[in-house]
Amino acid sequence: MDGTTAVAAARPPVRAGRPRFRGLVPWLYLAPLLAPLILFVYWPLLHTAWLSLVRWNLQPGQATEFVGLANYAGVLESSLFADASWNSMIYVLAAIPLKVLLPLPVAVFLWSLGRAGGTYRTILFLPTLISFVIVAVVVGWMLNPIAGHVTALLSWLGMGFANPLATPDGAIITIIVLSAWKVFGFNVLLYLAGLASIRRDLIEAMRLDGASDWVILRRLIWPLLSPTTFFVLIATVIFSLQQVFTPIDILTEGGPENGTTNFFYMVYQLAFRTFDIGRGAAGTVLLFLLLLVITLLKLRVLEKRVHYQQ
Amino acid sequence: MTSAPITFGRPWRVAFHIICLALCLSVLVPMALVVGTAFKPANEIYDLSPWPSQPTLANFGRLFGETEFLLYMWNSLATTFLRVVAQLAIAILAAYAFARWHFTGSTLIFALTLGAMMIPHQLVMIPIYIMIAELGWFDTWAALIIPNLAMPFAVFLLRQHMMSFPKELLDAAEMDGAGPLTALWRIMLPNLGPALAALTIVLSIDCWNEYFWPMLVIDSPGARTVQLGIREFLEENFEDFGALMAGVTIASLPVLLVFFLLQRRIMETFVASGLKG
Amino acid sequence: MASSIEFQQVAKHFGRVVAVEAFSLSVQSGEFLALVGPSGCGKTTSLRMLAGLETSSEGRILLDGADITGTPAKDRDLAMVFQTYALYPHMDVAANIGFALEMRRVKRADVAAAVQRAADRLGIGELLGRFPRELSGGQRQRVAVARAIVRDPRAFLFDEPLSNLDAKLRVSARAELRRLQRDLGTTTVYVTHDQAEAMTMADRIVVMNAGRIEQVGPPIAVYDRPASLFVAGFLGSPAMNVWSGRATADGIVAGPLHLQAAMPEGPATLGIRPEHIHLAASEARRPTRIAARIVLLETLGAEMLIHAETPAGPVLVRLPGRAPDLAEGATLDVFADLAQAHLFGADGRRLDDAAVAEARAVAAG
Repeated sequence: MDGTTAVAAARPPVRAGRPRFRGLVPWLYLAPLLAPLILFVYWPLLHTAWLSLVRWNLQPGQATEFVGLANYAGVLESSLFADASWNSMIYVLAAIPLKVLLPLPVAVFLWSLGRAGGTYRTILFLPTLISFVIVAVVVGWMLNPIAGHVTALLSWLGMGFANPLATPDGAIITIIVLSAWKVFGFNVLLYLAGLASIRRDLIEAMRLDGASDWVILRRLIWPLLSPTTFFVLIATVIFSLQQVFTPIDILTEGGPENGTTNFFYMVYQLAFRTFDIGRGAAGTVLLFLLLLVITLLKLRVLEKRVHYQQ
Repeated sequence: MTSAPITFGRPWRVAFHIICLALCLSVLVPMALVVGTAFKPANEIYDLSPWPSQPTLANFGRLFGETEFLLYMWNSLATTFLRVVAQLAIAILAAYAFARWHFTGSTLIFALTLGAMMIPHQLVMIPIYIMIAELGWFDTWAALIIPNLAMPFAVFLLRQHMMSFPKELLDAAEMDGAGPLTALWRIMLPNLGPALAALTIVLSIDCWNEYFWPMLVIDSPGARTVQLGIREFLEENFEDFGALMAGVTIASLPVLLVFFLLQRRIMETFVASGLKG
Repeated sequence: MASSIEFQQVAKHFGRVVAVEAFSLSVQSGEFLALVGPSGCGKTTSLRMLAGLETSSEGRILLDGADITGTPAKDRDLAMVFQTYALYPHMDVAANIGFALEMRRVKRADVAAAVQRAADRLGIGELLGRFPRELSGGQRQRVAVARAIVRDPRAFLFDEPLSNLDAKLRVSARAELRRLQRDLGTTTVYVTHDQAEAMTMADRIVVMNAGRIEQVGPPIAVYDRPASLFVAGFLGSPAMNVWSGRATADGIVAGPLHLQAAMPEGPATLGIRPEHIHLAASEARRPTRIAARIVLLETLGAEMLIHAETPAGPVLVRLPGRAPDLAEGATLDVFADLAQAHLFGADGRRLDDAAVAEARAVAAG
């Protein structure tokens, strides 16, 4: 048959129709997301809250015993919690100059370089791509008392050098430095994204008003960038608590003398090293509350950012 | 980019270049040391010089011959592939529903999706661990893949892209007789190519580099991933740094290679994702 | 293929906003119907409800007598041309045109033949291998039309299809589109805010305002006898002179004119199109003489627009040809052709023409 009849033959009859379950369609598209979201995020959160009220050692046969808030008291009174709190604070405080403040001028400089800053940006970004396992393993190797290059270099320079991972202070400093190294380029990129959204005509207008670079930086760029800065701050605080889990686990396992453990590692230690599920869950609930507070803070900042755009 | 928005004075420029160069060296020197050591013969491992005077593949030979590294790579590759394909399919469908339809409950469900972005693995590890124990899934690919199917940030990112997609094109497809799934597959997705490619790579890197979750649910060498393998190697073959660095090189290589395929897009997607490796 | 379409009391609400209300309309098989009105009047919403892209809140829509109110857009067998053309950017022209046929699982060879025929008909047969981004605006528009005609749908729906073209192309495109529709004989519903398009292309026009139909009829009939003040003001460029006034026992005083007319007392509005006001010199009908001062002259070549002031308000006169002796600031005698006057009551609806019996110009005294 020729084309015309073929087209005509394919004409579907127009059905007189009623809306058939149209409201159901979106849920079909969402179901594959909702199932894992509920099973592996929201249900476990509730389950954890329940587990925080019982005593259990993860043995399948073992009966669980309801103990009320005793697990919370146990966690809060433990020296592990005291150490984890102290260290978490150190991690966060050290993060601010190294991961929040220092990347800012570097980002402004790369921004001023324009296209020419691309190579710096790319190289600084590489640590983001490399797994924390590998970063930790390589650092462990370089600090190795026998084979490490850092050790060798220092002894070649005539300086004695002890493995920093052997002392609590040395260990936490090592983890702080390597996590700063890992996230530095990422934060530079966050700042660059914020800088890119600053309109050039504002800068040009201010320059025509006779402002110097320094005045432009202080009076225009810093205030316009402040939502980004706050965003970087919050993201970095969470990062500094959570992502250091891997180097802690690989390099120190929380030690020496609980010198590097933090909240995230603490709940892991409680649940999977001492197999005290109740206390592990109680610690998890406390950590959840902490993250909730930080997240709510972040949401308020995001609202402020919207405000700035108007 | 047009002309420079700010031009620092010469002394500042010099100082900043020095800082940036130092930072870049802190990235590049360890990388060079790792790669150099991977090719060093055993007697040069302790030398300070980064490059081998007599390059050798012996470290790689020991890595593949004396450990199950090839199996670890297979586990990592296969689970990364399966997991990312599933994550993408789920995220695409959900993002499409959020971008295209407003329905009762959509705001709530979207808020729940965003909320899940704030929940790190460590907060849900105990119940999922118990679940996996009951299902007998320890040391299986399923334990690596199934608890990680929902990727809220991917849903969010795709929804953004889909909402900026011209609505008329979907209307036109509907008038042309395409149902919603056909319109998604034939009209929308082909036009999201670069965004999807970058997202795929970022999800793959995230999965390939993952440590915490595999560490929790994998114990036997048979299901070990590359990252776990490297940690095991550090603990078991403590002295063989040559082979260890060969493993580190191989484990990082695929990530760096795909990064250079789509550099800029990937950096943007990483920034949008909040994933920091 | 030509189908009849019927809207029965269709309404569309977006939350508490009423976009379309009490919309009832019959479109004859093969007819070219234009929906025209200012932006936000509900014309596009009505079209989208017919297309199935928008669900209606109330009422029924019939296609060839069958109720399609709940039928999904993809099953209605209607073709639409969008303002932005909505060409699929990742498909070449042939794939764009053939997509609907492909969706119906027409055989590949038949699709190719039908696509070639549709493209040739629009003079874009050479462009089948190109991508939308490689086409000019006019070419894209033709591809969009080809995509609509290729499957011989029950009706064409056009949503401002020419408004993205430049002015010159728009004039030639509308003639072409009109000819194409006549040749094919396909029922067409055409949405536009451009009255020239509606007037020149449509068999009937539907003037809409604030979600309601103001008037339906052949273009000239609507132009000559606007049913409401809104239609009178909307159709015609430049717009009709409109003077509001009062009807009393003594007649109607509106702007510079005083009419003897039998109508109920109350507010009334008089409208006269600029082309129905003539220079007094050319004729001597005294009673409606208006003395005016020229404020601005617009010389368009084929015609002239005279903006003038009278003590009772502004008056706009449209003269064919030229009048070199006129100057801004000079006074001018014009008279209004009252046979062509329109009277509207307090509610803005048209009053019967017979009401105007006799009139004289107030200002002329």
